[in-house]
Amino acid sequence: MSNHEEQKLLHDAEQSERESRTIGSMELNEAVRQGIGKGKQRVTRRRAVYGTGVFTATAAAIIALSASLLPGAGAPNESPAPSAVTAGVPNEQAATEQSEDVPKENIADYANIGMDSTLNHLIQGGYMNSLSEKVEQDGYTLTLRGEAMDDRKMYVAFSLANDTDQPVTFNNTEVDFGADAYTKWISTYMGENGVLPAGADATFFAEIELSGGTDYPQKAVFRTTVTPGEFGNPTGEGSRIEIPFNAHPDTLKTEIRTTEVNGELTVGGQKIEVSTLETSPLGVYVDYAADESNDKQVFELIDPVLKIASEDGSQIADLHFTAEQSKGTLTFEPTGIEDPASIDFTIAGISAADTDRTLLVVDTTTGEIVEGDEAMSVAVDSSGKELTFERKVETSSDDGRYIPMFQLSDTFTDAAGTEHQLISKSGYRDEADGTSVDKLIFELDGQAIQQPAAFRIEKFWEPIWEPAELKIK
Amino acid sequence: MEKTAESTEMKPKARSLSEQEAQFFERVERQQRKLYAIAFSYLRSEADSLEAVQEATCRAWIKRKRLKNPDVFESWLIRIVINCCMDELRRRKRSFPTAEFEEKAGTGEMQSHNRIDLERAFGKMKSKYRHAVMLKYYHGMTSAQIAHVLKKPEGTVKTWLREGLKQLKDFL
Repeated sequence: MSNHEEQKLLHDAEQSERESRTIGSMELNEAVRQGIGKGKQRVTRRRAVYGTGVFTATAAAIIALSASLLPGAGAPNESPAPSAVTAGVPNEQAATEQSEDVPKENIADYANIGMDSTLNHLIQGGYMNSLSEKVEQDGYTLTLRGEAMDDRKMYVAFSLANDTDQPVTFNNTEVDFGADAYTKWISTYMGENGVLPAGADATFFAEIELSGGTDYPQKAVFRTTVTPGEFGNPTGEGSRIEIPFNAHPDTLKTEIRTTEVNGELTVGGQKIEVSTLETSPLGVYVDYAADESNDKQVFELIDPVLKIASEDGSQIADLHFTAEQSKGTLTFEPTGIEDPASIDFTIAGISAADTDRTLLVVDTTTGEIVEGDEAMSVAVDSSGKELTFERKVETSSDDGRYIPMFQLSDTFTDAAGTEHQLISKSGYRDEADGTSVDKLIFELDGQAIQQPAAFRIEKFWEPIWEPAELKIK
Repeated sequence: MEKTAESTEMKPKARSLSEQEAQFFERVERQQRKLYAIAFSYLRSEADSLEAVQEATCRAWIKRKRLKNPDVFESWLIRIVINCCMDELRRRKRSFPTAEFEEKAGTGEMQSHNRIDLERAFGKMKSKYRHAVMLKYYHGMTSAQIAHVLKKPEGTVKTWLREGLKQLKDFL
């Protein structure tokens, strides 16, 4: 390298160093704090879906399974219909209950309580409606403190005083609006180890998925099971506690903005249609669907990011998605930018595979794979009633990227064409030296199975790194 | 609404979490300026660099228990922030094609042609070479320090530096 080029390099390095020094410590501190908050949120969500080990995973699987079977869990829309809410126009019901009519929670009352930035923004912004219902039962006092809901999700702030001599944990938390209104528990932040110690009290936030386009009534019931013992290792019977309360489904409707996108992303020849973008104080939602003409099955979008800028350019938000709600809806944190001048949606790629790779034909008596993905293996326990599916994935130990676990469809079909239920027991990941083995354990439904049986893999990690961008506004 | 108990709320367990959090925060805070400077050297945007620091902190928080040796915390964080920057640069490749860079340069948004030339050259370089060159020239690290950060033998890093500079010369 010549001196001239090296000079160029050194000059640029000096300029970079000089410019980087202008950043304030407060901004840096805030970035680090927000990063920790995001990390906690992601950990909670992963725990909610997969658990962190065999025991927690079992418990999480039970929670997820139970939540889907309990009353109030109507059939979720596979891809939620775009919201019927028109930007800024309250519907008839909303006109009967304006947000300002409802008492709000005060952020000062939540001092020293761990929460992520979305919750902080919700309470600080005056969007969390106050509740005051309380139930005492079996040595526990459960108090509903507040709720906030748009048409996609809901947060419930609740506190529990544990006046027993055992640590406790929650499971089967749900909000029930009745059989016609879909709800699904997403997460409850419960601290690092998921337990509330004996004699302690604490405030928690349950996140509940709702279905866009559904008219939710005011009458609702909050339920949770308080179980003595560590998470996944109960030492006694759980107490099912329920509290009826009045939700406020309309107070945020005037805050919801819906943008019809009707755009398309193409990655590796696969088309993804982005239909709508909805913003509310609870989050930003992007609805998408893979085009039916695709020759691969699209499992997920990798690293979706929304870049939203205000009119004068003074506010720019880079939103990384926080969760995929129902399949086909990406959820991002709320921005606080009321009338964005530009919205750009980018992805780093997709995870997708040929459809034939999603089929797994297995002899459920021996675990022999008759047809299917070579990265997969199946084991049968000695009782013949339990199947363990394993899949190896290469994961980098350094970049912190979360490689999602594979998922199976909850039914399978035997050789006679009879459909059977696959009952999820647990799932966990063993990681070592950049290689992971994902294990999902299922119980068979006890009915006679004509061999072999066909299982459908709903999702696995098969990245196609090809960035794509869509200008939404 | 009963809120009288809040001053004593979130007792033992939450306290232990917030202690962990405070400790983690403190450790990252000690490195935050360096992390930002590294992110800035890759991204050259205050907002994107802050975002990279935030995302790196998030990933580090999630993976913190897997870090067995606390002595390598700093180099581990640097690796994570570099990965975050590379993710962002991959996104940008699509968002800001070369023509747009040139257009922006014309309006003064990008400071100089030197910068554009270097950006373009870095974009073409193999990532591993780029990391070695950036850490040496932009952050003054020795080959041994770079080897520590990138978890590679020092000899390999020296080769990467040599090859990186060669590529840079070819592309400039």
